[in-house]
Amino acid sequence: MTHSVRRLTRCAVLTALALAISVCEGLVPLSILIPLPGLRLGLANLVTVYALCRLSAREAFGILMARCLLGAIVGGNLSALAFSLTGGILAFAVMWLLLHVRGLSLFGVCIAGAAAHNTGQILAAMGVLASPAIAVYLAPLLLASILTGAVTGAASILLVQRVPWGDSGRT
Amino acid sequence: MKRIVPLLCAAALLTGCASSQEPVIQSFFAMDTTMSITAYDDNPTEALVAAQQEVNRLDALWSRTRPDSDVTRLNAAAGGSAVEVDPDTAALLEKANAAAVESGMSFDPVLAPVMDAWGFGATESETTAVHRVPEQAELDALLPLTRDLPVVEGDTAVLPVAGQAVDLGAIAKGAAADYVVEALTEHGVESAIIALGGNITALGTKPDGSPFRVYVRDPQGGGEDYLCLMSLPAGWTCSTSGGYERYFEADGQIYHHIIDPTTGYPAQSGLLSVTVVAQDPALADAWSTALYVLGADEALSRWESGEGTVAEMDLILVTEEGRVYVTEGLEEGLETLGEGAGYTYEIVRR
Amino acid sequence: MRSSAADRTRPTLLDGLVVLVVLVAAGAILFAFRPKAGNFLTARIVLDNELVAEIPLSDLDEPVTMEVPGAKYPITVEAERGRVRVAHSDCPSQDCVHTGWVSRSGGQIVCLPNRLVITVTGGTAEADAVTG
Repeated sequence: MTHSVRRLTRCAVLTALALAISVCEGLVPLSILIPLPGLRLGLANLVTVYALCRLSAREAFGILMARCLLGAIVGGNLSALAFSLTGGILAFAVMWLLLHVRGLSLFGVCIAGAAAHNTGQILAAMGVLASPAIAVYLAPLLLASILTGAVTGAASILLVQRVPWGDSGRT
Repeated sequence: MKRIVPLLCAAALLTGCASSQEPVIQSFFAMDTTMSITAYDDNPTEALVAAQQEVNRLDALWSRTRPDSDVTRLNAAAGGSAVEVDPDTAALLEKANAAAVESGMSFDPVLAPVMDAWGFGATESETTAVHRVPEQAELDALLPLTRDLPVVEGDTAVLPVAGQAVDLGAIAKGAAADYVVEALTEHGVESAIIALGGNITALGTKPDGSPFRVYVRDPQGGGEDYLCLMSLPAGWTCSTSGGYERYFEADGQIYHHIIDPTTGYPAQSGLLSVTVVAQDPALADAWSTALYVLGADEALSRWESGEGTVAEMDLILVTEEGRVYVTEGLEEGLETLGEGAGYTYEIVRR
Repeated sequence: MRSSAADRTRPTLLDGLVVLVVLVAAGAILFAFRPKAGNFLTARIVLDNELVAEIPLSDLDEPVTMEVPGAKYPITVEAERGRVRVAHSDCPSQDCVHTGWVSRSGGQIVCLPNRLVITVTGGTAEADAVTG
């Protein structure tokens, strides 16, 4: 297998995985349990974290974009694209930066990512709905993001440790 | 995965307070007053429309100003032969009669001739109503017409004396609440607060299970001065009567709209307002007027006796001296707000 | 790309710092949007059973004056941040004008001659209705 084909396949598999996770998550919306708009566990973020750690930022970003676009098309909810894109990109940027910080673990990275994702979503919602009042939801969402971030953090540690499928990995 | 469950529980605790269900409010005019129904339900539109239609139907039966209402026909036939009325009208007349008898005519459904003399009568013309102080001779001539109650038999009713007139204004709005509750319940609404011109009925509790909360207006204050905040138990109604609601001034004297049927003059019972909390909304409405006329001593002694309709209610009585008597059933959830305005509060127990 | 974070399996002190930053941010937002009296209040103006206007009282930066369209007696509603009143009415009773400012959720201004009700809703409602 050539290098680029392997890379493409890898990205495709991860995109499919991320998409599957986010669709599954959508089937069991956390917001039924807790009435807070925009609240989700963010398990699809696992894939982004994994790609950032084990692949490259470029590939991770590509996977994220593909996941958001395909998710909107599959879910038939194009209006949600603005929210997931803003949240996703902001979370990506924050996590990419934090991964360069020494002394952090994936817990911190994922919590910051979840918080950034929620902030991005709320910013987009404020823009789309032209109502600054939506910012009230941000405080509880940020608190929730500590917990959801810790969950995805724990999961991503397991994932990154157990599946060392990188450029230098065994293929 | 094990650690996710406790985390989720913690998340639920942290964010559980952010309840998102917004009520739907229906405001409308009927029975010469403003009404609003606030329903906590995902899709209460049909229920609200049904409830409003029900109120309009009752208004058409019980209005004194509509030419074809049951009440108008009954009044037109006073002293003559019995008039066929709707079963709902017959039921309300019987309820009004019972309240009139038990209150010693302090609640008087046939006070209309005297009310009209003061200009407090048929209220559709309130904006153009001419208020005046009637001559004593005029009142003496009218008062005998306010003693005999309508005779109800089956679905017919008759006023025994020519010149008599029924006015159900002091009980109709309360009575309508029963029909509103029925209409809402039939359409699946389980939580609503119903305000029919100052008569507040709680259908169920708030969605979070806590009781609905109601402000009681300060009878001497402005628009946002409140006497207290109280909890209204599921299924109960509170109704307030006070001279401050409608009055006029003549020769430097204030004449309010709650006429004492014994004198034909505005009631001088030493009370500023009476709030009655009862399970039957019609009785809450009628008795708030009756107790205002009877005064604080009589109201409290009836309540303390443990017998009769009043004993089954809870009361808030505000005297001219600024004393507020609250019966013990309302103590839980009561928040007094009028200390700054000089009110003193006393919980009455039996 | 390999980073040190990817190799750790236990939370570090810096992770705690991240949590702290998020907590502080949440606290700051909570504080900034703390429900002051009249926050997110809305005045609903209902004329003759029809909703004619909804004024977001909490969002008002400058006072707003509006003539209620279609009222029998010309009536002017004035709203500013967190409160609303009837500034002027040609109705005979003038009760609506005498009511003055209403700022609490659940409060009402009624102009019976005009069959007009202004209801203040939203915010942190202390009460669901008013009797009397």
